[in-house]
Amino acid sequence: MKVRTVVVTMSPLLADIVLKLLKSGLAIDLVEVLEGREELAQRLADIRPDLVLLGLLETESDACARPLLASLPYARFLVLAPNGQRAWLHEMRPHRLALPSFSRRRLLRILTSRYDTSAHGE
Amino acid sequence: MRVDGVRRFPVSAAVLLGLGLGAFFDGIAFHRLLQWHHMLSSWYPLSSIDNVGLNTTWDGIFHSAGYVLVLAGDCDWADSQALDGVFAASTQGCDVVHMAGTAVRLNSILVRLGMPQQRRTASSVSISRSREMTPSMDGTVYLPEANNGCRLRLLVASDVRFVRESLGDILGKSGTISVVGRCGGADQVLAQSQALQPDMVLLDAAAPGGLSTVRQIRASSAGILVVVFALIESAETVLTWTEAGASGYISNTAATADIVAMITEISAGRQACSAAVVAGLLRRMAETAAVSRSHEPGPQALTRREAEIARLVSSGMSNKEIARNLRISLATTKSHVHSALCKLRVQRRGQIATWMHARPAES
Repeated sequence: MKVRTVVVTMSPLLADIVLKLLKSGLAIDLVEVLEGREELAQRLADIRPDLVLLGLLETESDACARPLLASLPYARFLVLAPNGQRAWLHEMRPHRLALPSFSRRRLLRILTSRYDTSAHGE
Repeated sequence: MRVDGVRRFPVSAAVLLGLGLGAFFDGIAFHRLLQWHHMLSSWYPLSSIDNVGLNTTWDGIFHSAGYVLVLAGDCDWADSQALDGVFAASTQGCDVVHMAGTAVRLNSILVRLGMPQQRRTASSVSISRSREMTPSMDGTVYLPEANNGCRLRLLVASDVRFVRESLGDILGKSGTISVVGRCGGADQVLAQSQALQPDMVLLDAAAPGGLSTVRQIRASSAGILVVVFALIESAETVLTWTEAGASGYISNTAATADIVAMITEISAGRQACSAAVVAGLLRRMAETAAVSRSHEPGPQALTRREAEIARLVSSGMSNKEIARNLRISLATTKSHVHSALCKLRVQRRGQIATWMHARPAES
């Protein structure tokens, strides 16, 4: 299976190194290199990549990948710091948890643990 | 047969003992052992090479870059392990030094390995890292091409592990570069540079304290070139790194496919750079020249009397003649001449004349 890959705002040298590494284990198909972020979600939706290599800008955090992942839940986002020092993989995965003989209390605890409840106290 | 594969010795002891083992193989004369020992110690600073392993088998000892491999005495070159050992050592950046005695055999091995061999006499040989043999030494040394300056010995330095690993692999596969080490962190880079004495350090521009690292490498080993990679190319960044001592750079827009060629070019003294960088460099040169000119001593630096004396000095007059001409004492004349010399930052009267002739209009 070919992995349709898009590179976004990443230095060419770093992107080249990462792609070379990935190609040693995956059938990477580089379909687009985007140097800017204008209407990124829409452009990605049009391209429908399997993998997005997202280069962070200075002072940016990897949280910028979350809304993109929400709009492209089938894609994986490999987010890299500008110098490649750090990386984060954002992906959505189907998750199944068996709940045998659960109590009301346990059910509530399991569900509340799935959500960030810190905002509810406001 | 492993005679002593575990114990480690300082290089001097290792060499002597190693040659002693050579004698075990070949019956080499003791004076020759001392001669070789002297020769090796002139190539390798003994203080910088500790813990050289000593082994009479071919496996194990070669698998660490930076070893000095001394082949002393006769060995069984029909042994495939020996061939593999020599090959592995040379590709991993070891200096393979073979002393006369079995040279013909080693030569034939290099041919069999497909490695170009070179024969040099003691008076002309220079091995990798530009170590010159002592001219008075007698004997012949055969060196594999890989360690004779044809393969660039490179240390890859980046704090980012996957970057240094990936670059090391890419560059190591080229036929012209031998990656002798990969490391991250300024301390490691300095230590490895000292220990391995590579021809070039390829340093990540994003490495913390990179500029200081370059300065320290250049200060401790001026022969090591430092090339910065993944540099955001601008006249300012290029100048900053160059002033720190970098010999070249690879911009962050380069493709990995081009890096080998770029490194080769830089090691040959050539640097590809953008027109914007060239323009910036020219601008900086012009600014520097202007600043330099403004700091040069001018005629305004001299008092009227000093300028007058400088003019007479430049006309060839002695102090006595000047004193007579200006109707001042000899001591006063000497004082003015001394003051003019100081202000013009020159040491001899002839230089005052040169300075005056160079600025006839201003003077």
